[in-house]
Amino acid sequence: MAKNSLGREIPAQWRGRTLDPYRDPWSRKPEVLRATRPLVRRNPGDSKLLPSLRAALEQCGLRDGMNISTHHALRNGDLLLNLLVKEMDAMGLRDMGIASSSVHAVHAEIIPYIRKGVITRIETGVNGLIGELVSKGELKCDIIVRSHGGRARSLVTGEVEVDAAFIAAPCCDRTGNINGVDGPSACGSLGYAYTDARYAKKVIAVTDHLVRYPAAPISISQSDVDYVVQIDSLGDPAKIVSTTTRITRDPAGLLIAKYASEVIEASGLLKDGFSFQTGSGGTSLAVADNVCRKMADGKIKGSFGCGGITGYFVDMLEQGYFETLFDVQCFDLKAVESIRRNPGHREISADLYANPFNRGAVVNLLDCVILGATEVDVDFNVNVNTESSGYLLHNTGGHCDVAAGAKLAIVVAPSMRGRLPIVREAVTTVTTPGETVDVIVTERGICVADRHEELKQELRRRNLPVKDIREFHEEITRMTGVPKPVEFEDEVVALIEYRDGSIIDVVRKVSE
Amino acid sequence: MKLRRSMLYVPGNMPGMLQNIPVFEADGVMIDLEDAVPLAEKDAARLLTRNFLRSYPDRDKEMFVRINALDTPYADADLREILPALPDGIRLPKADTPDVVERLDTLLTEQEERLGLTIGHFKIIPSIESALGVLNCVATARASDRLVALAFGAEDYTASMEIDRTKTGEELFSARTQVVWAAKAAGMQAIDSIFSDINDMAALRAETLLVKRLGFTGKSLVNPRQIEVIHDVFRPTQDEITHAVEVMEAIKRAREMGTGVISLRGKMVDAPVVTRAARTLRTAVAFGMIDYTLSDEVIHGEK
Repeated sequence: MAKNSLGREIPAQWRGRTLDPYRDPWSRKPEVLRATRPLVRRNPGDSKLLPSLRAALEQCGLRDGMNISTHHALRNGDLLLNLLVKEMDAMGLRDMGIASSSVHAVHAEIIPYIRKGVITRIETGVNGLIGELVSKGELKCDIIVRSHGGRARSLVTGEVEVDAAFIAAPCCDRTGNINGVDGPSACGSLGYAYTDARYAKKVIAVTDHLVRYPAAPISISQSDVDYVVQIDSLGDPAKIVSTTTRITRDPAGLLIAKYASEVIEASGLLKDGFSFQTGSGGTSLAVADNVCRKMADGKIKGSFGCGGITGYFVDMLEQGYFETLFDVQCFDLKAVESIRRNPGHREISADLYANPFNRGAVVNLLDCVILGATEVDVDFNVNVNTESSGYLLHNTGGHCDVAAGAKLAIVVAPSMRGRLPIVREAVTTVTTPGETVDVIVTERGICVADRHEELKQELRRRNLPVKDIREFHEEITRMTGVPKPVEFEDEVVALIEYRDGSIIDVVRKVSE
Repeated sequence: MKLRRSMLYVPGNMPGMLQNIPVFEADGVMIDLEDAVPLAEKDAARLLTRNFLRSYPDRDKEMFVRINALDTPYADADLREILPALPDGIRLPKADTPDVVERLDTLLTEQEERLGLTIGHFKIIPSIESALGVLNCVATARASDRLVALAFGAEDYTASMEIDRTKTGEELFSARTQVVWAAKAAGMQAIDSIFSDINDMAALRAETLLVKRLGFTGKSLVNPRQIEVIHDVFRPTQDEITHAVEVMEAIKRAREMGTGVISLRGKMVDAPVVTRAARTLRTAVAFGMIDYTLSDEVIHGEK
C-alpha cells in the first residue's frame, strides 16, 4: 500500500497488475511502441459476411479469459453488448472481459452473466446498477474506470488488448465501410469506435442497415474491418440519441451559469478564436447560452467547440459563433442531422480528442471547459464517479482529459444537494486532480485556484462573490452540518485510472 | 433612497427555497405565510420562517413577511412568532381600509414594547388588492408612519372585480393610477403586482416598462428568474443618465448667471426638468451606475 501524490492509498498490486500511483498530470510517459494488430490479406472475391453473432464469435477464435469491446454511441438504446454476452454464455465462454468505451444502465441485463462467471472484468467505467452492486460487494466483477482519452490510450499502448471489437454500425456495406449517420440506428459520430477499429485483433461490423457498396461517407473503413454481420436491430432508436436536457429553469442553476459566464469573460479568453466545451446538463447549457450572448455583444467569433455535441452546440455552429465542431459523440437527433450535412461539424476519434499519448489531442487546444461534479473538495479535486453514498455510479467521460487540456477548467455545481454539502473536506473519490481544475462555481460563491491570483482580483473588481475555498467549505458545512462519513472496507472493487494510466484513486467496498 | 425594485415572494413552508434567499439579488424578500401556505402548514411555516430569519443575521436585502390577513385566526400567531426574529417589516394583505393598517400599527407597537425595540422599528407595506382597497388607498397611505410603500395586488384585485387579468393590463390602468397617486401624494414608493407567467420574459418586460412609466418604482415577483428583467427595466439608460448630467450642468450655469431657466439644445430647462434629472441621477447613484454628488443649491437654487 502506498499513497499517491494526492494522499490516496493505492495498493501495490491489484488482480495481478502492478499499480503505478498517480504523481502529477503531466510527466508520466512509458517508453513503449504503439500497439499493433495482426497483418491480414484479402483477395478479390473473399467474403466478410458472416450469418450471425455466434458465427462471428467463433470465427474470432474467442477463448476463456479474452476481451471483447463495443462502443457506447447508442447509449441507453444499445442492444449489442447484451446480445454478445448472452451468446458468449451460450458458447460456454467464461472469465471474459468487457473493454467497451462505456457501460450504461441498459447493460444491467448482463448482471446474471456476471454472477455466472461469463464476465469477470469490465475495463471501463460503468453507469448505474452494476457499479452500485459491485460497491456493495453483491457482485464480483473487477472494474477499471477510464476516461475517454485514457481508454484510447490503453488500447494504443496495448495495456488493454481487445481480442474482438464488435462495432455497432448504423450504416455498413458488405466490405465493412461504416458510418453512423444513416439507418434506423443512426447515432452520428462513431468517435469511440475508431480506436477499436485500429487496434483490436479482430474487428466485426455489426449492422441493421446493410447497404450496397460503397457505404458513404466512410467513418471506419473496410481496410480495418475483418467481418460483417447483419442483425435485425442494433438498438432502440427512441433511446439512442435521446438526450433531452434543456437549459435549466432552476433559479440557482441559472445563477451558477451567470457566474460561470462572467468568469469566462473576466479570464480574458473570450475573444476571436475562442474554443469551448460544455456538457449536456441544464446548467452547462445555460452557461453556453450566456457565453453566446456575450459573444454576440462583443462580435466575437469562436474557433471550435468539442466533446459530446447537443442541438444547442449545433445552433451555435449554424449561427456562426463557432467555425467548427469536433464531435466524439452526438447527444441528440439534431446533432446527428447536423453531422450528416454540415461540413463544419466534424467527426473525431476519442484518440484525437483526448489521448495524452499521441502527437497532440484536441483538448490541449481548448480555452475553456464547463464540467460537472458530484463532489468537490478544498484542494479542488473533483469526483464524478461515486456519490456521497460511496457507490460507483458514473463513468468519467472526458472529465479529467478536458480539465488537463483546457486553459480554464470551470466546475459548476450546487453548493449542496438536498441536505448534503457538495464542497467537502476531501472528495469520496478523486476523478480529476485539483491541479487541473481552475475555478469552482456555485450559487453561493466562486472559488479560484491560488495559481490564478490575477483572475481572482478581476472577479473581485467585478463584484462577484469570490471566496476562499476552505472558508467556503466551512460556510456550507455550517448550514448542512458534517455528514457522518461513509465507512469502507479494505477490499478494492474498482480502480480509477488517470488518463495517463497511473492510479489516481480506488473504490473500496462500502460497509453495510 | 432605499431601492425596492424587486420584492421577491418566497413560500414560508419551503426550506429549500428559504435557504437560497441570501443567494439572489432581489432588493427585498417577502416570506409568505399567507396564500402560498396551506392551512395545515401555517404553524410549520411560521417556525421555519422564524428560524431562517434568525440564521440570517448578515442581511444584504430587506426582509418582509407577508402575514395572514388580520381578520383570520392566524395573524396574531404570525406576528408573535415572527417579530422576535426581527424582520424589517410586514407585508399586510387585504389592506382594504385605513383601519386595517392602524390595527397592525397598534399590534406592532405592542410587540416593539415587549421586545424592547424602538417604536417604529417594523415597517409596513400594505397590499391594495380589492376595489374597496383602491377606493380607500389615499387614506390608507396616510394611516401609519410605518408605511414605506403601497403595493398593488392585481390577482386579488381582478378577482374582487370579477374580471380576468390580461397580459396587456388595460383592466388595471385606473386602479394602478390611483395607487400611484396615493403613494406619491403621501411621499412613498409604489410597488406593482406580480407577473405570474414565469416563462414569458417579454411580457414581463413590457408590463414592467408600462408600470415604470406610470410611476411605480418596483414590482413584486414570484420567481428569482424575473429579477434580472425587472432590474434592467428600472435601471436608467445610459442616455437618460447622460442627459440628466447635461441638465444639471446647464442649470448650474444658469444659477451662476442668476436665472432658473436655460436652454439646452433648443429645449427649455426649468424646475420640473431639473427635478426629474435629479431623480434619474439619484436612482443611477443608488444602482451604482455612476458616482455623482447632487447639490440642493443647484437643484433648487439658493434661498
